Amino acid sequence: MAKVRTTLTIDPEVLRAVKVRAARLGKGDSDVIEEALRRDLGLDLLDRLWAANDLDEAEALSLATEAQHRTRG
Amino acid sequence: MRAVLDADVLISAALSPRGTPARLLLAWQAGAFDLVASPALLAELRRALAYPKLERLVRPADADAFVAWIGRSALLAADPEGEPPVRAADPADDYLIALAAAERAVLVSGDSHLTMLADRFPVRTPAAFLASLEP
Repeated sequence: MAKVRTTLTIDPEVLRAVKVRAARLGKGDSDVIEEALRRDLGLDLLDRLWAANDLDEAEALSLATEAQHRTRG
Repeated sequence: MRAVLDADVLISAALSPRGTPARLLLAWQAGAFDLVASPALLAELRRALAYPKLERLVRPADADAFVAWIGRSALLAADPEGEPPVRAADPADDYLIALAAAERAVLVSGDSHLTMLADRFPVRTPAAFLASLEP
């Protein structure tokens, strides 16, 4: 996906930590910020879950309902 | 618009990337509605994800991360103490009705025990709710 340029206003200590992390990992500041946001927004988690599971909708809902009912006290 | 997504919808979203519940999660992230959760809903989600058949599909670490993500990203409301405005066939669903009513939210569920109440309470299937979000 094409990247878009944006402007952020953040705490200087946060920016310093971003730059330190970027230098340690050999990445750009933007990469470090984007990776942190993807983790916090759950985007990485959804990618991981959806890479591991590809049930059809009816099967997923049936299994989810079964799990919900069977685990109720 | 606010919505309470039943645990079955949230779990289905994790299991079926092409399904309607997954599209609802993406619509929530895109700002189409505000997701409301509560401690009881998160606890039920956590319990259901530990169900053995599900544990084989969603690793415990990812299940914990999923619950934590919903917990910190949704509008977290206290579980209401009062009675729900209508009763579900399964009393274990009553807390969801009470939560949706207290938060003036639509309840979205794939459970027929709840969707059968649609003429008396704003409860929708995932497909019906998604359709209501689309222009």
